Amino acid sequence: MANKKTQNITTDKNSSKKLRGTKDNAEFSILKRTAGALWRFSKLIFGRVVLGLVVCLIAYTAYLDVMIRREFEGQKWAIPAHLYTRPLELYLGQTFDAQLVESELKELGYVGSSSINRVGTYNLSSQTLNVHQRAFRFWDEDRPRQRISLSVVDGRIADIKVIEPSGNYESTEIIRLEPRLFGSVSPLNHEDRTLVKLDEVPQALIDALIAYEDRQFYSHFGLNFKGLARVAFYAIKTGKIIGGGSSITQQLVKNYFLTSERSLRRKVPEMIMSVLLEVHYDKNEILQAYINEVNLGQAGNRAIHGFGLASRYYYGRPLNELDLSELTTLVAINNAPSRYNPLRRPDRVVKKRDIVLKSMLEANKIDDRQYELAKASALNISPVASRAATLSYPSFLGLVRKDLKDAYKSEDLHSEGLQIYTTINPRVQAVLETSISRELDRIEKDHSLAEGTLQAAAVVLRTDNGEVAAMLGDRNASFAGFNRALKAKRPVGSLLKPFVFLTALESPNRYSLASLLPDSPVVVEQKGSPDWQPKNYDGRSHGDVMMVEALAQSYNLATVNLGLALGLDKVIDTLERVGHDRSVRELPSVLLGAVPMNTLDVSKMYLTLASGGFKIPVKSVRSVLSGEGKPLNRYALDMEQVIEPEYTYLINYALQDAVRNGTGRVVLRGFEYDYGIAGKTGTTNDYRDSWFAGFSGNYLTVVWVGRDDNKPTSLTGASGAARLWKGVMQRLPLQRLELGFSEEIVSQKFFYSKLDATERCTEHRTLPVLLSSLELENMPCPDRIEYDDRDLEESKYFEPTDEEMPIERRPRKKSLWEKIFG
Amino acid sequence: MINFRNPFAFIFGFMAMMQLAGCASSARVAPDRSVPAPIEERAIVDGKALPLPEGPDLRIETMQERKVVSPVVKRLIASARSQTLSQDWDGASGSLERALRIEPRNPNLWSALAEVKCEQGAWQKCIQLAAKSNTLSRADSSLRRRNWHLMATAHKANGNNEAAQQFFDKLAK
Repeated sequence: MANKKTQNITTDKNSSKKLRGTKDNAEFSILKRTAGALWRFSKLIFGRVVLGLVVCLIAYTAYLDVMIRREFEGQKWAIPAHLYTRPLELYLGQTFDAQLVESELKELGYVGSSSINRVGTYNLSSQTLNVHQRAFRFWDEDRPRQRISLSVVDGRIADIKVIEPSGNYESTEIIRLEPRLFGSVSPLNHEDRTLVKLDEVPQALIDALIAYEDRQFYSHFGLNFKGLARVAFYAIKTGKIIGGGSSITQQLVKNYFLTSERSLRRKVPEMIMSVLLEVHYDKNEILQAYINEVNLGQAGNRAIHGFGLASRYYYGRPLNELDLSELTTLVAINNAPSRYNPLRRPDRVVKKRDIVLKSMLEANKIDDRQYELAKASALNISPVASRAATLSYPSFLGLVRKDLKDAYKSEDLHSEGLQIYTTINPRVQAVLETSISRELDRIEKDHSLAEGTLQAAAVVLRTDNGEVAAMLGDRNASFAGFNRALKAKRPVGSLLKPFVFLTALESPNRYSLASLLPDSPVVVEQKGSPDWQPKNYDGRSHGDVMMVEALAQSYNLATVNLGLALGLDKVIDTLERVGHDRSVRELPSVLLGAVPMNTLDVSKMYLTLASGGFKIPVKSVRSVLSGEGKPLNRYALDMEQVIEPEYTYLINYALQDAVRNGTGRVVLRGFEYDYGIAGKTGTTNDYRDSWFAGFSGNYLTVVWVGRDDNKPTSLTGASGAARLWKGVMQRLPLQRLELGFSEEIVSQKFFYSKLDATERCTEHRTLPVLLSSLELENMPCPDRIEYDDRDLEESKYFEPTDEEMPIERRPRKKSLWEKIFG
Repeated sequence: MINFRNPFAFIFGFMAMMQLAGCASSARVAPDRSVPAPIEERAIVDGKALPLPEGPDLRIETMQERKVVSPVVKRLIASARSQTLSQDWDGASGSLERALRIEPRNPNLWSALAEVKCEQGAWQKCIQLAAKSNTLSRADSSLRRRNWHLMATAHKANGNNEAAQQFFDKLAK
């Protein structure tokens, strides 16, 4: 190429010498030729560029077409799984707590009203409750909307009527309020929606949207040129691009791709996609997608998408229950939910609602009377409902996600609109949240700790079925970050002692609650590490102590001596049997609770004690329905007996004693009644962790208090977690813990000596004891054991009455003759 | 030996449930405590024993005084019964679990739930729930016997003849 060029130049040089006279002509012709070539060349290039551009545009349009269709088809049905609280049951004979029922109704978005003609209203007096209930799909029943009437006599529900629209009624025994939607299992972008179909959408909402947003909606092909012209005119006049002017279709496209950037670069593809949408889908499909897609607010980290969810969020009621003013308020919020936040800027919202109403009036969609009436209405945003809408129980939600992860694929949870009925009891949860935060503040003040240094985790379970009633993973209940109830694994200290003692009690021919244990120094040699020398909290040893006393006072030395005598493998086997599901290393420190567990792990083990020896899976979900309301899964009550009832009786008695007379004493102060509380404190080295686990007949609560940086807190189980525990339990409706009934257990008076008493065997206490343990040698003051003359066989079937207090039943001591010859 | 899968067994099961729901004798066994705990076993705060909680569910009653089944439990048992008849095991269990949330210490409900599991052929669950019923049954020997019968049946169906025999022996006593 280069050579050729050089040659040409040489030629030119030669010819210039020869043809100097024709120089001008030649130059002209070269120019002409060059220009012609250039022209042809640029024509060619231009043609190709145009062609290229057209091809590019077609390709781009095709690309946009694929994208917008995928978005439309996909988004149309992507509804996250919705989570509901437990339903509140109301039944004959139930104690009627008007305040509790009313808070539940308000959280559900019911409105107090003198007449209950409208659905979603109620009225309450001291003797009656009337509610116009919404339709609801329960897992086992599709309940239509209905009116109910309850009458209350002497504080109890005496009559329940279900009233038909005709006025006919039917008495029934039990009804339930619908559960409250409290959250959703959404993918990372935290979008949430309640899908509504166009035929369920009130006409007034559609009219308002079209009148205010896009009057030519039904006639244009995706672009509203009148609107655009207005924006263009304004832009030319002022140099600013204002919002609006977009058709509903354009707004839908904009919502799909979620950029609020106002530029030509965004506007062009948006316009192309809008036209494409109109080509593929009809107006109703586009309108329905719009109603379900637009962003109407932000609740914590949940984005409120669609009018269905927005209605629940701002009013606590479904869309079809809203009146004109309420519907136009939602239209006012639409498109700028942070600027027009009705909770923060009601004044702005009212102004814009009135503009929406005005545009409806202009479009002849409402008459003057409707206009004036709606304009005069207050915003009616329900503070209770919107607060309830932010009650998303992040810690409990974490547990639900974890429990569902095994059964459902994550895309099903994110897009199939599953209805998940959980176990959370909002009343118990509210008690847990307020008590924990209040008590922590007080403890920090009382112990002169810096504000906000303590953290807590807690769980409340129902003892009869293992349902999680409430859960907290942070002292700030709405904090959705680190969930300590599930993730903070801390050593549990003395919380494991009951299981060491239980292991002993399961050998009734060796141990009873009265058996003496040596609370004396012990040195454990360990291969490859220094000797282990545990100490008591008070630094002293207490001589021989009864087992019941050793647990109540949480004596470390007695526990270690007992555990070593039993064998570590036996104790670890007990831990696994009662529900600890991770392997535990066979180290002697296990006996003093050097096993890291989270609050939920601890609650699983104590649940086995609280349920009378039955291991029950802890559950957060009762049932799951498909998006179409078809039952998919029910988590049935399941249990397995892992401790014989007699041994459960004995260890629970000892745990009651730890509360009545031992380290758990602090929790009793403030209780109005004796609920037979059983519980245990736990404190770890240098006061890093403070635990309390305890139960009544119906609720088990486990609380942990400590610091995130694992530094000492100066709190024991009793001065920290136990205070939180009682703050919670004293505000719950408790039932008394009953130890049950066993023919094998009798109560026996045991004599003993005080540690530093000079007189022997002057003290006594009555303890339950298994018949098979009665003649053990390791009891205190064996020579003082008294036997009853009453015949054993007879006393076993003794049925006590009201008047008779239980008597101490003891077997007759066998004579030597009987001992030898049976 | 009764096989719950055959029609006779079905009638037997139905009759047992009828007995549970209808007849007052073995019915509503709400309070399981016959006497208050002796005073030294009571919680004492500031030198005073805390009173026992109030409420009808905790009233002291002897065996003879036991009330009839509470209407709500009766209603839910009736639902469970009709669901059992239509082999809607989930529904029947659901109704009984709903009743158990209201009266968790009613041993008859646990026994009824065990029975549903037995009819369903969920033998292991049947055995466990019958055992649970027994821990709450106190001295109600007719209920205990019914539970032993369920456990014997379930063990046998599960192929554990030795365990089944233990319960048959108890029944024979």
